[in-house]
Amino acid sequence: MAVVDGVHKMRSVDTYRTVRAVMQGIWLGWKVESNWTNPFVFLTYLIAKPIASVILVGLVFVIGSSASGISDSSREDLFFYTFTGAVFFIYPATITISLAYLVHEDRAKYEALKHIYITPSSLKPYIVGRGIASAINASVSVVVSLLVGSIIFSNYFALHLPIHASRVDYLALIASIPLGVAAFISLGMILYAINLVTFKLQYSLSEYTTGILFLLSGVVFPSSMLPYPVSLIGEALPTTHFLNVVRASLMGYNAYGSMAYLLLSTILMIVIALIFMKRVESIARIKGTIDRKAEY
Amino acid sequence: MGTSDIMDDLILNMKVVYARAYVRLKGLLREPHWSIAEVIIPLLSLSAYVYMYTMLNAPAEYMAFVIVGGAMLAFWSNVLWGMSAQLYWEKETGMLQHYMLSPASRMAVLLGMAVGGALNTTLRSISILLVGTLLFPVEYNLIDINALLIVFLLTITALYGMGMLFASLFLLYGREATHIADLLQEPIYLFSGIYYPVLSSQIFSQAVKLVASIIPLTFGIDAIRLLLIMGRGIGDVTLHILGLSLLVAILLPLAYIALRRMEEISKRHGRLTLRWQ
Amino acid sequence: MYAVETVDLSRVFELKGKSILALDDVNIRISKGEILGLLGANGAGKTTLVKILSTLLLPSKGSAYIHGYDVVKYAKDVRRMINLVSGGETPGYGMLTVRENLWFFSQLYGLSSSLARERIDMLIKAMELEQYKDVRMHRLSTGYKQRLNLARGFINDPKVLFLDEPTLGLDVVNAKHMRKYMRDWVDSDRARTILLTTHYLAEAEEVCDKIAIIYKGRIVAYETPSALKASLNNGVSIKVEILSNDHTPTTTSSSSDNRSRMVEKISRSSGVLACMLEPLGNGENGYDDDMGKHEKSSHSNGRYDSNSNNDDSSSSSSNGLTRLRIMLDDDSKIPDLVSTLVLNGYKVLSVKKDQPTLEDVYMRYVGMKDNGMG
Repeated sequence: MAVVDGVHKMRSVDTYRTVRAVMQGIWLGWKVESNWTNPFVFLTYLIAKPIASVILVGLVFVIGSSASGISDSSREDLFFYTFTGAVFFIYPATITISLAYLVHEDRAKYEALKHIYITPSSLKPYIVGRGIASAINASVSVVVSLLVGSIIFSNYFALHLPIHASRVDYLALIASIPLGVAAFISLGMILYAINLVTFKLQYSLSEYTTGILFLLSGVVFPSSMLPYPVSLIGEALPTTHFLNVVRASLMGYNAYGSMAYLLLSTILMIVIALIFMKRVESIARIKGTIDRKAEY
Repeated sequence: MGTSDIMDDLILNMKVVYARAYVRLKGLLREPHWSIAEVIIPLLSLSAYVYMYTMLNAPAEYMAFVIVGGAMLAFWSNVLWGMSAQLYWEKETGMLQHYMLSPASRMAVLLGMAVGGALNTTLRSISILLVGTLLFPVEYNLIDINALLIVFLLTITALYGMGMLFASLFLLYGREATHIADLLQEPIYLFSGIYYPVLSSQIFSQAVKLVASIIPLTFGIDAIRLLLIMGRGIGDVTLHILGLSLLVAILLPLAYIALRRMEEISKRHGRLTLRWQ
Repeated sequence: MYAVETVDLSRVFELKGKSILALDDVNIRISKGEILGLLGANGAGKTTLVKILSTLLLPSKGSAYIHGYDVVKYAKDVRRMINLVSGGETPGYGMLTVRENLWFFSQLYGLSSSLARERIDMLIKAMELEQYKDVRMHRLSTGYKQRLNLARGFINDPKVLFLDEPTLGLDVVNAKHMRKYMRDWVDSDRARTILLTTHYLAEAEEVCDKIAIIYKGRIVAYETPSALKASLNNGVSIKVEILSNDHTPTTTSSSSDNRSRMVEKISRSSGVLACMLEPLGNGENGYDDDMGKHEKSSHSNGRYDSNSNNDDSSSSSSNGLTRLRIMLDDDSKIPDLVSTLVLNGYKVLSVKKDQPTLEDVYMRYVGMKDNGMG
């Protein structure tokens, strides 16, 4: 009986530690990444850069569509497709970039990774916490970019988003965010794991990933336009389904078919990330990469 | 200062330019994955924009516009991260102190960085252009190669002149340098017309075009597109050449003044060698 | 003409609205062929002085000359004659090899290809870097990085070399190697000069012709090591072993507090110039016994920072045995000192007069300044 009690106690201590580690990760991530005390940094990362990237896509659309002379109705639908793709792509981009870069930040810049690693709670809750902090930041960027972008394009280029508040499926929209975020944090964890045992990809891995996701996930054009085998990869990515659910729910269409795919791909991504992370942690200890700094 | 002193100085500074450029080029050979990343990553996003133009049924030359813009973007990234932020990084790694101790001209050090960076990036830029051209059905119509070379060299000189100017300013801004570089990235994409024409487009107002012209990349990309894709000659890019020449004439002396000022302020306040401040 | 000369050199730093006087009317003259050791605690002004002399920082007042050239007006001429090596700094680009880095630095000084090759070969050999010459810098150990750094400092064969704590963080073998090279370098050409800043008193004593002690931006002593020790003629250095009568078991921190209080009390006694705890092992005058540690465990008439939770277990054993090193202004004060110790509950096991060391000199001058005596 005493043994069973002891096991229960240990489990509750473990759960407590995990929750604490997640909360600490969120707190630290919020402090480091949002940096409210420095308005310049806050404005740069949370406001200016996301808005600029959304406007860039919008301007490519404006110039491309005016050169081609497509009809007004399809123009508005296509604008909705590219604009929402660019806005909601901020979630996977912010989370994966932040988690992939986290290794360099903790290991080389602040030299804190070894201290985090030797605490009783594992790295995974900490990564999840940092991922959630990035997702909160991304939410701020998404809302601001959506508002500013739609105002600019409707006022200056007569491009109106066909979104009607009464038709939006809020339940599907709200459900898609945590599901998508879970998938992107898992993807970020895989990138984190790769960077934990390597040194050469610290800066480029996240750029490769966001570049591939931007090209294959139907962000600014449907992935079905890609050559056949490549388009299949696009269909398997959680980003594609996340954007599909968001678009469908904003338009008030049935989003639950895409939601099922999103759920499936998210679960798959979580499983892969956990297996990958476990394997890589032991490799990192064998190779001694947890506290090693790369110098150039 | 006698003639032999001037000659000695000249020889010293030429050696410095060569040595600093050598470090840059060595980086290309030692860390080839950097170069591979800098070719593949821009190709991924430019491919997305090519598909977007395809989706919109835009004319075929728009695909070529994107590929040329993507190739020229490599220079902006290099100017921003490899030049502007470089003195700041040199300070962080402790290398700046070694430069400041030596009798070498600080402009020679910056020029060395610029020459090495420009040579490196030209290789990357050509790779992007070649791979992009192989991937997508784009056509070029070049009839005046001399004009193209003149415009290209002027663009690179003006861009790296801007990088040399920013290097001193970034150093004075200290820790904010990386944030400034990050902040400048997307707005420059917007105004300089990496993925679409700006100066020849009806979409943008004259005021926007004027502001965009401060960025050497805007004139450069527009002129290169006219010469390489639209089959125009030097007569069609005279304004571009004048604009770029003016930028070179302003940016290089400004870079020199900023560097002197930066050194003076840093020496007075003791900020030249201390890290993280 | 002196190799290095400063005239009333001062430097003020403005920090958050406060003015901090880092150098205060510093006057030094270093002759050619001389190694000057600049001793001082952290923040005493050593690095500020070196930075001004090496053209990295402007003085607020006064002037400084290298071989007669004003470091402010003729910075470029000065730079042709000098080099600076600091402990723990980056000796070059990580992705370049040892040889490539040295070549790179040789070009910053405009060396011809043949001279650069010759000098690089010579320095690689002198710094025992042969087996690492084609290894990238970032793969070198700390010791070898610092060897490369020192080689960088000699690459232009400077007339004046500034060495700012060059053996910081180095092991005994590497540090000894560097010291030997410094001494040989100056001895082989008496036109060469070194200004060496260090925390290590024994290092200064081993390689320096003259020593300057800098304290709160002022030079408080400036002499040859033997002259400095001789200046303590009217002072006496004693070693005292005492045993605490109170054998109640104590925690490490409370025993450390007790020792700290005792040192403070003795320091305040009449005739005591300085008092510090001595290690009970054989580490006396060892190179590990640097000023950082010294500062924590010592008191000069109670003016040293007494914030010393210094858990120096080697300076006292668990049975209450403590060894002290005390500077008295006169040996007639020894009986009074013994009485004070006995009255404070200590059993005096032994009292031994000792030869003054450079450490005593440092304690004496810094202690005197602290008491407003200097």
